[in-house]
Amino acid sequence: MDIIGAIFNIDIWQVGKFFVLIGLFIYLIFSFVVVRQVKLMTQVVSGILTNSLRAISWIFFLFSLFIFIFVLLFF
Amino acid sequence: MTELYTSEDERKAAPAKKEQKREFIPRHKGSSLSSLLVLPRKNIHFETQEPEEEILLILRKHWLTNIPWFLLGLTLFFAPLVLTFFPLLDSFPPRFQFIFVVFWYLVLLMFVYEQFLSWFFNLSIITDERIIDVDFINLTSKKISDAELDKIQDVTFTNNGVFGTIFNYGDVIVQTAAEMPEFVFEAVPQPASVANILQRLRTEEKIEALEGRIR
Repeated sequence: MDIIGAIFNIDIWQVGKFFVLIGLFIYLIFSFVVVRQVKLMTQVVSGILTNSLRAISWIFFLFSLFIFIFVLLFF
Repeated sequence: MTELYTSEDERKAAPAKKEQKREFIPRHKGSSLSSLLVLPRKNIHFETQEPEEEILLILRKHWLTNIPWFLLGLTLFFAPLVLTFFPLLDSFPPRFQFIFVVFWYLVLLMFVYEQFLSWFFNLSIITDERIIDVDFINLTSKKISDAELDKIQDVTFTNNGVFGTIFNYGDVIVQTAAEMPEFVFEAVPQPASVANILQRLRTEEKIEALEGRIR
């Protein structure tokens, strides 16, 4: 890994961070789609754990957003 | 000549459908997470529900059908412990190892949540007027089919397999004269009772039609 970095003058772990960020970004989009999916589902059948399921989906999204920003800024 | 249009005045003049007490339907049973919810609370609605339409049964697949993905999720939850015996990520810096584990659990949690949502919202609803089948095929697709009770032609049920027999769950197959010729309620609890309720509701609907109490 150090040899590659020395030859191409790049920090290989920054490249690794880039791919991690891509993965987290894709996950972020997926978690947002789940938020929309839960909203759609609770509109079809409402009154059964509607608020709880919506809250859980938003928590997932916000947590994945937090992880993405954390890796972006502090990694 | 058959009336194709009924004015609002004529509808108001028609006798309102009385709230019926049906002896063949047990009292309220089940909670939000049940596979069989009988006479659910009045605040539970579905998208195409009519104002006077009453939900009698909400059916989902038996909770036992969730065991495979639950066990898979449980196994994957403990999978990172393998790293303590097989240092697969030791060539990566500690911060990368941490992020890989975090990402693993994020993906796992989403898998479990998706499986739960798929079980929870793929349901069948039986009202006093029709049967409705709600299918969420994937993240972006839904399919909702319904048929009026008087269009039901035949109701069949099955209890297949060891677990189906022991835990009393199976398929209820409803043949209809509607646009959707067959509804299959898969792996629902107490299929015999559900089939019996559908048959009694169909009979009740035919009697109401004869008595002229159609809404």
